[in-house]
Amino acid sequence: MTIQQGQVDVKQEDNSQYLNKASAMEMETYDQSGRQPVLLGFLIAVIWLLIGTVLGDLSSFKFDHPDLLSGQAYLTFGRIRPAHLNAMVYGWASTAMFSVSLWLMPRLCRTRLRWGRVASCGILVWTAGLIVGLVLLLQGYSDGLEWLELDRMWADPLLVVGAAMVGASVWRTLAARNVHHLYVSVWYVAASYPWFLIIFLAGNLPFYRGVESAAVNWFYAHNALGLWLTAVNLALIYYLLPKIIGRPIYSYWLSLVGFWALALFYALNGMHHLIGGPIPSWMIATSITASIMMVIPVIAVGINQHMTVVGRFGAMRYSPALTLAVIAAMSYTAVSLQGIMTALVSVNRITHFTHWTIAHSHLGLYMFVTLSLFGGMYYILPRVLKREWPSRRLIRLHILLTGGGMALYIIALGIGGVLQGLSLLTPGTGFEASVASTKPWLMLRSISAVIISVGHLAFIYHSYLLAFSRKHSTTQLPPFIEFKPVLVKERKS
Amino acid sequence: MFANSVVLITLTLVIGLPPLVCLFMALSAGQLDDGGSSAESIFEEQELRYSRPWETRRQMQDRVQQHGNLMNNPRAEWERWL
Repeated sequence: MTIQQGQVDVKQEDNSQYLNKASAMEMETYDQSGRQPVLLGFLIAVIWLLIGTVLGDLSSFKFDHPDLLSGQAYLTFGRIRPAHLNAMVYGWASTAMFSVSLWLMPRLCRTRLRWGRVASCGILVWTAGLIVGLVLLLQGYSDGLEWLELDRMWADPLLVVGAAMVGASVWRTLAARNVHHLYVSVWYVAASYPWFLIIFLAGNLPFYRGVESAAVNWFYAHNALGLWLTAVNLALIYYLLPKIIGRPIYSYWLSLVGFWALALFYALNGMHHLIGGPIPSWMIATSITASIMMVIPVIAVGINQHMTVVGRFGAMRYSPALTLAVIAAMSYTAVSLQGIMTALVSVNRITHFTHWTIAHSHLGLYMFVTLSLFGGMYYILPRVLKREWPSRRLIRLHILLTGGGMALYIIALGIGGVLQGLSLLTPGTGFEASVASTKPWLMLRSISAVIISVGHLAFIYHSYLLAFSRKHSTTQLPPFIEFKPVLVKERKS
Repeated sequence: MFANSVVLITLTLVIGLPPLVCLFMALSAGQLDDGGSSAESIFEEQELRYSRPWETRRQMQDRVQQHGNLMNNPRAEWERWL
């Protein structure tokens, strides 16, 4: 009886502490506690964004002009394309996600960032590993597995140590929290680090052979998307949407359903990339079933995020961070439903081994992950640097070019991929015909790549101005205030 | 056939079982109680009272009813933009 009374007291005490909202000054203290690793991560991420963009553009141009820059071995498509993927996934996205995690955790745990220097060192070790891996990759040393090309002897150990150090800071901050209940974003961020370490280590173990190697490869690649990239970015979106809109998430329960469904059922999804391959049929069937089950968390997240924003889409005119977070949230739903659809055998028969897959992966990695991270940077950097973004024109230019460019990219490659798949399935038609059917769409992809690159340059230049220019912002109006809302009723005065 | 799958089954269990254990631990620790206040925990004091220029008259009235009279955000320019 005494023990029960004690338990009740503890709960009441925790709850009362929890219900006290933080002051703005307190939040500022938390932001400043992680200033060094957060800024370091974003700086390195932006450099990788530039490198990855150049590599991506070159890879795209080589489809239009196969002999372009083919004189040097390190500039050939087989090296530049995986270098682009690794620079974007591990350089840009993952490093920016480190910063997002290290900024979110103190705010949500109501405590200063712990082991910040360990996190900074972790980011540097991670970056060193990536540099080593990419240099070796361009020299021709690759592990030969998609998403796992970086050298397992020299590069991967550094990536593991780096991520573990950042994860240690995240978990130490979580352990020192001053709240009892964990907000859904904390669940996502805290879980993502052990998940990443487990799948990355498992994926890089050297003793898989043949079919088993392919199966583990896609176990890693798909889980890297779902349990690493998705987890941190959903955490960010679950924070940004209610925070900017100024109302709590529509259903907190639904957000937890989304998280736990992802945690419990995602792991087997990757095998749907091997439909038609020489692996046990039960494995494919299980993977398709697991993929279809993903409808539950995807719909849960989609409904929750939509219902949080619905009726307030006009806020997107005022907040670039919200604009990007909303597009990213919609893209998450779209890419997940598209992925589930692609896992069906009848659809996969057409889209497998075509450019459709590239369009699909860019819908996920760019429209969802990258736009979410851009939104996060628009929100986080002014709060950490205590400065305003200097130019609303550059914000507008960046969002319109990257969003519009990538929409064009996905539509062009999506159409091109389906045409390619149908051509490949047509009896009596040679392989060459399938290549010819994609040429105009690949050209359109290259044009959209240039548009996106200009958007990236605008963002990088703007970030430079924000960080290093002494000129104060003269901005008076939000970037999209002139845009007439489509989904919003005008306020009647 | 099964020999080829042992690694994958093991890996899937390594990924899938810890969350199941964590779910039970979270339930027993009361983490899933009181979702409403968890959802509000991200807001700073007074933050829900700030006037939002995009809100309709009805939405503003709801905000006043739930959180008290509206205030102008007194903070720096980027927070007026949100």
